[in-house]
Amino acid sequence: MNEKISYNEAVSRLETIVSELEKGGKGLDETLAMFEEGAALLKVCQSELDAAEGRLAELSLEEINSQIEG
Amino acid sequence: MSRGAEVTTGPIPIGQFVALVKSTLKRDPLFQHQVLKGEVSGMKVARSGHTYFDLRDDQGQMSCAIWKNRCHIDGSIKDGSEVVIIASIDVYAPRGSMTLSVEKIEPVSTIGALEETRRKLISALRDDGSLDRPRLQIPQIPKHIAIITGAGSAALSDMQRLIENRWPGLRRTIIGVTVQGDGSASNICQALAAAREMSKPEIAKKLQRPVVDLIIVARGGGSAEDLWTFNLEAVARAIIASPVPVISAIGHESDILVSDLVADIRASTPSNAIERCVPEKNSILMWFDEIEGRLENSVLRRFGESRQHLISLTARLRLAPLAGLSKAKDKLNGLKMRINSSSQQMLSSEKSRLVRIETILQSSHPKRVLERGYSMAQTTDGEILSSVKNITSGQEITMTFADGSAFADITKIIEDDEK
Repeated sequence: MNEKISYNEAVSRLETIVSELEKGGKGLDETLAMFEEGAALLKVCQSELDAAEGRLAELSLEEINSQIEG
Repeated sequence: MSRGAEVTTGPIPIGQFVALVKSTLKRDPLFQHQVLKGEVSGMKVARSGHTYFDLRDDQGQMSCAIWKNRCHIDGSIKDGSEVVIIASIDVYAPRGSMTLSVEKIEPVSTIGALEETRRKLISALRDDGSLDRPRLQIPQIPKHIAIITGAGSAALSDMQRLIENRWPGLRRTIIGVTVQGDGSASNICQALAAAREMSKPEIAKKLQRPVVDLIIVARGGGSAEDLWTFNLEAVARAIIASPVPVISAIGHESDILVSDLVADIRASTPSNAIERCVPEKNSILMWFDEIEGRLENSVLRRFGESRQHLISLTARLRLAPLAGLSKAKDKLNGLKMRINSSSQQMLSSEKSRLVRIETILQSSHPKRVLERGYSMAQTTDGEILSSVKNITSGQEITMTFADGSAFADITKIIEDDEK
């Protein structure tokens, strides 16, 4: 699976996997493979949640520009 | 067409021609005491006390002169001012130049002119496709929001509070700017440029933060003039050029500014901007739980189906030999019956054959022959005599008849030789 998958892609792939699995009619091997992919995607999504949190900065334009240039 | 000398009086001297132009223009009421509007540019007061400037718009311009003491000039009028003038055209013959001689000059009521420029800007943006351009998608979970807004403003504290309610600790950089008056437009453009820089991975790495993936340009409510910065072309162009999605959240619900029209998302208020881009963390977590549950259930169900299938297969497997056996038994019975009936048939035909043979045998029994009047000759030892060659004259033999036997002596032998 692509490690660089975006959150949106991961979410929509997850939705697809779940609805495909819920539809049924897949082989056991395929079901298991899809489940594993889904579980991995969930992990990706959850790590995205963690990545959204961090330091809060409130800066003037000058401070920002000096940070960017510095 | 005649080329005769009588048609023309020859070339007109240029001075005469300029005088002709001047008198024509001065005679035409269209060019006299006309009400005109435009933007003041290059305004200067000469030592003579006369004031000169150009009146221009994006289509053209003309030099204007306000003769000393001819009319009052509002102190607010300067370069860049939109003004309405009443003026008449004049031609300065020595230079062949046209000048508008101003009789009255007034600034255009500010908002009226602003409205006009706003209208023009919108139609220009429509014409160049900026309004219809495809918009950028905002991330489902922004990893780093740049919020461009008035430093210490009420709008900012509203947004901060709302973010903390929805997603505590969501990463953001607040870029404080002036949001109205002189310099605000360039201030906001610089902030957008800074946010754009922060969306570059190499800059983000230097700042030790993720790349900016969403920009909010926000300002609380105010008068139309207060909000006007967000109707300016520079701000609109900076938003259009942003590689990162921009949410415009200016004023109240009813205020629609050019920045709203060009942004990727228009939020009605700063708070609304947060509601639209910051998901509620709890609902996301619930979604995860739900998806996780559905994922597991669907797999478990699939395995359940497989188990059921396996169970039914096992049952069929157990029954299969029995079914096979009973089939084999049936076959055997069939064979047995077929064998029985065929052997019976065979027996009965054998029986009748035996009867036939018995009949034949009985009919050929020697006794039957004897009954028909023949007799059998035997030696006294019981050897059957079937040829005269085996007897000798004077030999005693036994004659057997159907109902008894007699002994006889051979008296003469006659051989049926060469008959």
